[in-house]
Parts: sequence; structure tokens; C-alpha cells
Amino acid sequence: MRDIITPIASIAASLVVVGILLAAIGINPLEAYAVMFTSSFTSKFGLAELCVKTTPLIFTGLAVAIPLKAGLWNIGAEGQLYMGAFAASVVALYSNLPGYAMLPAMFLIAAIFGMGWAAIPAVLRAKFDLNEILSTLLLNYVAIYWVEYMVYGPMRGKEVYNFPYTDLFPDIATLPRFFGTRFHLGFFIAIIIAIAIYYLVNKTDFGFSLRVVGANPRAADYAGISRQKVIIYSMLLGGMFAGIAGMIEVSGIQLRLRPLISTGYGYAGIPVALLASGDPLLVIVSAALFGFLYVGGSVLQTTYSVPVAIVYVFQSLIVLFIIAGQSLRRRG
Amino acid sequence: MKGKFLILFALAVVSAGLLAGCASEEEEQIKAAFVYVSPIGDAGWTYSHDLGRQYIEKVYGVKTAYAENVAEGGDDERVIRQFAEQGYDVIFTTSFGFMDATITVAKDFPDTIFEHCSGYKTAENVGTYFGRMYQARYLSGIVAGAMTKTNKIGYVAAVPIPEVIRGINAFALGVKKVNPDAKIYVVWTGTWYDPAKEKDAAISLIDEGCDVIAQHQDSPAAQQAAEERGVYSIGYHSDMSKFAPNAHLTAAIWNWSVIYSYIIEQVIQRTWKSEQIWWGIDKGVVGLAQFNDAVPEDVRKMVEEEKQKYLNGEVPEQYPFVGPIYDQQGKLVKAEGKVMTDEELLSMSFFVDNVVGEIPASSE
Repeated sequence: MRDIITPIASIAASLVVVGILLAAIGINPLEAYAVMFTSSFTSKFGLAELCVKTTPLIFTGLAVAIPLKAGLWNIGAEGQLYMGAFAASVVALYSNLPGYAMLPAMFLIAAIFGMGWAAIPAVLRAKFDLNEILSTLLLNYVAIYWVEYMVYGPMRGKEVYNFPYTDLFPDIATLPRFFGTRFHLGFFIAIIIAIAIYYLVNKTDFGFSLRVVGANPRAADYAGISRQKVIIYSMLLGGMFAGIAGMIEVSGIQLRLRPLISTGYGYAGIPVALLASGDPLLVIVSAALFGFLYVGGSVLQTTYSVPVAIVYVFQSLIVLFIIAGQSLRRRG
Repeated sequence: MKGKFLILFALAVVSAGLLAGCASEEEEQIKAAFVYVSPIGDAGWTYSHDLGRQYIEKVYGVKTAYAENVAEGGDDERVIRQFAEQGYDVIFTTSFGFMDATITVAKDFPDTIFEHCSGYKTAENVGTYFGRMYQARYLSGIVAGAMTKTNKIGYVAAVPIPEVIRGINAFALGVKKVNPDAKIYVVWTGTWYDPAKEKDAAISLIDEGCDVIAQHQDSPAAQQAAEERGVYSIGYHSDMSKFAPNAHLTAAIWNWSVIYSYIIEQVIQRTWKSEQIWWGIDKGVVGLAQFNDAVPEDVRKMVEEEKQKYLNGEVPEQYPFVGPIYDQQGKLVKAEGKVMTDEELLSMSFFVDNVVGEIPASSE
């Protein structure tokens, strides 16, 4: 029960504090929350946009949650996402694959590149005990600058007036959208993968060793579980999800590669995973909550013209409360 | 009799009320929304657009709203759609990267007017607008070229997109006009807004001997660096003299209210039609800020003479991009007397011959 009560209590507490702040700048908090809610849940487009924002967060949430099960902090989902997006874009623009093979190939290559990018810190950690927080974080910059270099240089499009974008992907390389909105196939892929990972973690031997290594590394040694293997596999899995997030984002939403393809989804994956206590099914729920915060935040802007800084304060306070709540629970 | 009179009076009051109701409905307040790519801040691109927003709100009584720091390609479509759903009559999207999202949302809201800044795609209900900033850049280059003693002029540049490159080249052609020996040293920061980085870049240019610092950034950090080091500077976006009272010679500035007024008047009068606006110094969309006292009379006169050429149509709008124009390798890009086309200006990706520096990762 406490798994459920703590996050709900911390969200409620944050709503109260943020409500006081909103009231202080002359906005009725109840009305503001109502506006946020109705804009996301009472229209086709609102719901679609909520799912659009939730989709990459499910993947990056998983990308953090799985290594976290083994006691590892993957701060590198952002970079893994960029590498996945880059690889998928190369396939989309230059492979000339037939329609039926295009999306699967992009999916696969993005997964491999995300994994490859996570393999570097995984091996460094497993073999040389190098802190994965630092290595994953620093590799983010490498990946982001790599994408920047590619779109300013070799991959710059022919029809973009020398702006740093690739050309638009061919139609066969874009994910199908539904209902005349931006709601796309990626959402279902995210849900299916989250469910599959739930089984992997809870019903398989690998999942068991993952949890043992995370809970008590020494016990894992006694039980004959290879910690190195678990470290590497869990990071590879995490990188894979982030890489897929990159592919889904470029082929579902951006439809081309550009320097900025993620508004910090990789980093947002950290609180998403924490709020869900690393449970893959709860990741879906907490990703949706964060998606709601993003969409609702911009509704606050369009409705009240509040400075964007207020929206960020609002979002960060909620994250802060959630993390505080989680650590209190662990103590309690 | 009295009864009839009362009834008539009552009828008159009611009908007057009804008429008033109709009239007020007809003069329904126009609502305009602005989608910004960065926070408004206190200087820079979005700040200059927001001055235009405040202007039309004050002068035309238009109700305005804005959303700042909206990510291109990801969040833009949602934010534009939210404004359209909220019934805004006209939505201004002020970044090149908002182009596709603007066109997409416009398809779903045929009765809403969309205006996209700096792009090239239009539709029945989507117009575009932009300013020929390179004209003001050119004039500011004349000032820099005349004021440099070391013949080294620094330029702190943001991101290598055509708009920035075009500004550097126009500036360099202005320098060349009055001082063929001077060179323009370009340093890229890779960011639009990073005051610390901009200041470092400016200081490194000053250390190399540059005694005039120009810039294309969203902050006045380069001006402040020049002020501290006792060299001159040329501002951008808005008059930055308050940040660098001694160093600030002038600035190439935007005055978006000219275009916003033009569009809003048409929206109010219901005469709006999609068009591609790309106005220059003759309309007052771009211009120079007030000169510093340090700028001598003969330099001011030279600038004024060149400015008059635009105003009385002596030169084409594309001026100073009129041949002969050479690139850094000495190759003739435009032959004597030939004028670069708007298309060529909008996709510019080379430096003219008196610029020192590289365009990063350029494929040429």
C-alpha cells in the first residue's frame, strides 16, 4: 500500500505548495488545475498530445528503471536517445529499404546504437569499477554534439535553406499516426515493451538476479550470480530503450533529425523511474503524469501568459516533492 | 395616451439595448497570440518581438498572449494548436523551426490567421514576415570599419545558419566599403544565449587585437566585455547602450512593431490576405540605434548617405549583396553589377573575402 500512498501524498502536497505560488501571482489555483485537466482529457487533441509526451518518457523511464534495479544510475538516457535517433535517421534517409523493412530496420538499429552507447559505461563499470553516473552523464554531451555535427555537416538536408536539419524522412520511414492527430504507433510499442519488461523483471531468472544484485550485491556473490554480467546486461537494456525512444521521436514526431530532438526526456526519465519505484508497469503511469505536467505546463502558458520560469518552478517542485517522498519512505 | 407613450419608450429602450448588443459584438476584441522560441529576457530576438507585441496591445487595444521557450519540432505544434483552439484571431510564430508546425495546424483552423516569421512556406491562411536585417548590418559595418585602428574587428556569432552568416557578410561588406584593409574575425559560440561564453569569446577577440566587437547573440555580454576592456562595440537586436555606455557605437536593431501594426490593421479591418513580407530599412523594420558621441561627423554622414540609397530606391533591396562579391577563397560569387536573389540570400553559406574564420561543418 505504501507504494501507492507515498507518491500520491507527495503529489498532493506539491499541488498545495504550487497552488499557493499560483495564487501569489494572481492565478486561481483550482481554476488553473481545472484548465490543465480539461485541456488534456476532454478533447481528442488533448489526449493525443498527452500520449505523444508520455511515449518517450515511458522508454526513458525504463532506461533508468532497469539499471536502477541492479543498483546502477543511468544518467545517460539522453545521449543514448540521441544515438538511437541518429542511427534511425541514417537508415531512414540513406538506406533505400523497401517499405515493409524500413521501420523495423530503423527500430533495430536504434536499439543497437542505444545499447552500444550504454555499453561503454557498462563495461567501464563492470571491469574497472568506474562510476557510471559520471561516465553516462559525460557521454550525453558527446552524443548531442555528434548529432549537432552531423546535421550541420554531412547530413544537412538539400531542401532546408542551409538550416541545420536533415531533409524530411520519406513517408515509409514515419510511424503511422491516428485520428488526424500526432498520436502515433510508438505509444502502443511503448506499452507493449513496458509490459514485456515487467515479466522479464518479475518472472525470469534474469529478473531475479537483477533484483538480488540491486538489493544486496554480496548476497548475489554468495548465490553465484555474476555481478559483472548483471551490470552489463541491465545497462544494455536501459540503453536499448533510450535508443528506441530516439527512433520513435524522430520517426513519430520530428520526421527529421535536428540538433534538438529531446526536451530533456532522458533526464526526465530519472524522476519517472523513481516515482514508479522502478516498477515497469508503474513507469507507464508515472510517465503519463509527467507527460501531463509538460502538456499542462504549456496550457498554463497559453491560458495565462505566465512566464515560462513559473511553469518550470511548478514542474520542478513536483519532482522535488516526489523524490523527497520516496527517500522518506525508504527511511521509514 | 400615457400608457402608449410608456410602451413606446420601453420598446425604444429595449431596441437600443439590442442594437448596442449587436454593435459591441461587431467590435469584438481582436486576440493575437505569440509563440516564442526562447524566454523573453531583457535583450535579444524574442525580447524584440515582445516589444512589438506590447506595442500592438497598447496602440490597437488588441488582447495578446504569449508562450515562451517553446521547443521547435516537438512542442510547437501543440502550443500553436492550443492557441488556435482558444479562439485567437491571429497567431504569430517567431522562429524558423516553427514553420512545419504552423502549416500543419493552419490546415485544421482555416478561419484562423497564422503569421510565421522568417520561413518560406505559406498557405491561404498562413503569411510570412521577416526583416532585411542585413541592410542595418551593412550600415553598422561602415561605422566599425571607420572606427577601427588595428584593422581587426571581432564578431561573436551564435549559430551558423543563413541569417547569421548573411549578417556577418553584410557587416563585412560595410567594413570593406570604408576600410578595405580591415578584417572581420569570427568566433562561434554555438549557442544563442550564453552570456558567459559570449563574454569569453569577446575577450579572446580583444586579446587578439580586435578593437571593435560586433555580435549576433541574444545577450549584451559582448558589449559588456568591450566596455570593460575599453574597446568599441556594435550591438544587435535592440539599443544596448545602457549595458555599455562608452563602448556602444551603435546597434543594428529590430523594430517589429512596424510589421505587427501592418498585419494587425488588416486583421481588424478584415482585409488580411496571405503575403510574404520581407521589409527593410525603408519601412523602418530594421535600423541603427543612436550613435555614440565618439562617432565623428564624417562617419555619420557616410552612413546617412548609404542609408538614403535604400530610401530613395537608388540600390536594390538586396544591396550590399551586389557584385562583385568574392568568397574567402577569392572565387567570384557574384559578377560585377549582378544582384544576389532573395533565394540566395536566404540560403547563404559562404563568407565574403574579408572575413577570417570558418563556417563549422560546412559541406563546401
